[in-house]
Amino acid sequence: MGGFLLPGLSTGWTSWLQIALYLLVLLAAAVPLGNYMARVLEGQPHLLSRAFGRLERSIYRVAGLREDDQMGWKAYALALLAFSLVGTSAVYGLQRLQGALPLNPAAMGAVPPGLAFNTAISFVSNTNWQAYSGEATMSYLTQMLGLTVQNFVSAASGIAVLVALIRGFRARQAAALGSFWVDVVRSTLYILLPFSAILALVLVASGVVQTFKPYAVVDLVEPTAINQPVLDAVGAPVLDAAGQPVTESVPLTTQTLALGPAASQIAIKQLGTNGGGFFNANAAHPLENPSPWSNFLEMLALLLLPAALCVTFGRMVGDLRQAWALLATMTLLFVALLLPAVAAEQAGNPRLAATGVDDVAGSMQAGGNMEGKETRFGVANSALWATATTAASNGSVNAMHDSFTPIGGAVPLFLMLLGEVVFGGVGSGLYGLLIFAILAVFVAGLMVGRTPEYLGKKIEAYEMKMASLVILVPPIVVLGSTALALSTSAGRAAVFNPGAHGFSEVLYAFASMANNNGSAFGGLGANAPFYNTLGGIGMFIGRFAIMVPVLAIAGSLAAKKSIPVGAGTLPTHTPLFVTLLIATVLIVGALTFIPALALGPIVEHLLLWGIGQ
Amino acid sequence: MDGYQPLEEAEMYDLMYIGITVGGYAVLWLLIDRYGPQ
Repeated sequence: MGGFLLPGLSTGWTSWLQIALYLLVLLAAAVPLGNYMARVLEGQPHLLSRAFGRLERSIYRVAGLREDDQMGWKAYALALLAFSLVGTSAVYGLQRLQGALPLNPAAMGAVPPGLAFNTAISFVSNTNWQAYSGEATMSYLTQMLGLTVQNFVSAASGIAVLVALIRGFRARQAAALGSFWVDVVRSTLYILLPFSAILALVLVASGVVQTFKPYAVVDLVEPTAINQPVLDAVGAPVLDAAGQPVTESVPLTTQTLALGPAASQIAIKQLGTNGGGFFNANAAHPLENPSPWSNFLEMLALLLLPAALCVTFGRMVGDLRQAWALLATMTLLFVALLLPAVAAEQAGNPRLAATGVDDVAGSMQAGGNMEGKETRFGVANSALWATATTAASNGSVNAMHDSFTPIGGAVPLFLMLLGEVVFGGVGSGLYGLLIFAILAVFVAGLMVGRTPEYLGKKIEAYEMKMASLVILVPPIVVLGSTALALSTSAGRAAVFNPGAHGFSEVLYAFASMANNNGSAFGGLGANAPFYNTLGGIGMFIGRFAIMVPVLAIAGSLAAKKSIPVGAGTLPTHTPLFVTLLIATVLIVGALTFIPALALGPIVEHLLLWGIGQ
Repeated sequence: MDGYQPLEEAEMYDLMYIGITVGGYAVLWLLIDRYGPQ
């Protein structure tokens, strides 16, 4: 239980061994991948340029582009917005028209407008918040042509914005940031497509389903029976003399198994930090994540590109020490938040233990809090996934976060509230952390009375205004939307749990949407007009009202001259700067969200353990 | 499918959501044009 390495042994040390192995493989793989991506994004010869170079050039020719096209920041931002608008319209249209389109073996009808709007924005913004159940709502065509395509291009857009920012840092009094279109083509063709294809094949070999066959009706291993109301000729329940519905026992001998082209979507939803499951249960579904081995691969894919992009950044700015500083910041924050999550879940639920339930880890069980978790993953791999999926802006789940202990659930929530900068989304995580780095050097500059600089560029009023927007917009959306939901009957009507836990469910939902994570805490009837509309707007703002100021910073930095390193320059590759950056991220996050967290998971934890009573 | 509206009944909502989407992009577009550095 809970172990893919040494199944059967006590969860204790094998859990930590698995987590250590995961981090080791992740960081080891990030280096060569980051180097490769730097060559791709710089347009230098690389491993796949011979295989796909002709295709790349054909795309440019057909689209009327040139490899060496250059855009200023405004043109870059407008191209991004135009591209996303087309994507949003296409996904919306596909959902509304899927009933009349092919590849729809389960005969799905049109997706309702509110849900289609929410889902379209969700996938275009790399959020993949799912207010729908995939196997009961979307046709194969919608899943493949709408959602999966956006999984690729939304991740590519994130990489493009990051690359533009990097070019802004290294440019010397230039206006050009490269071409958005070329960056998207290269990211998709050489990074996302080949790695997704490889991962999809490995996942299929591991038991993940990939088929165009319609849903299968199979015989139950253990036939059962259910009681259901007897209906009259017009479909109304038949009532007995006491006015109660008459029921009959109906034998159940078969069930419908949802199938579909899942592996190809799962590969990119993990690699592209998208997270939208093919099935409603996401990576807890046995056909989406059947074994501890597939779980390890999917978890690895989840953080791989965000970690590797740090190395890409170091290569592109010509100073790998900067990359190690950022990667160290992310890894330290990740580990610091992972530890309490695992410990809290392993500690279990004292109320349950008090009833005599054995929740001690042993050779036959993972122990701890196993509510909402799959026995094939156990406590450690569920808590590790929850931490990784919210550190990255992925949002896929292999366990139900709503069933986590208050502290176990607070960790994913807090990671999202930090702004998805601990690894974060593909591209978006690193440009988010770079904005915090700008804030950190600004704070340091204030302390010593010197104009702050980062990577040889002076950080002045305009950059700080834009950085403030990037940092303040998500909290405003999260806290404002949560307050609105809790103060309106439409918002409260969808909350399934009372008290602090219900508050956490609403806060988590808007934290997830506005920070483009997409994971669901659960316990919220999110497929309602209020949440579909407000959440859709929140996801849009959380994505594009961040990307645009980041590009504005890139444009402003590009136009400045580079300053040589001097005696007064704050080194940004040292442990001191890593500490300063971690403190900046934590202090901004804590100052903004501790009051809200106190009303949710913190008070729930105190109540659960009877602290202060 | 339970709860699904035929397309004809949802045209007003379609217009509303298309308006919100296009409006959102248009606002950002205008902000870039007006307030961004050259």
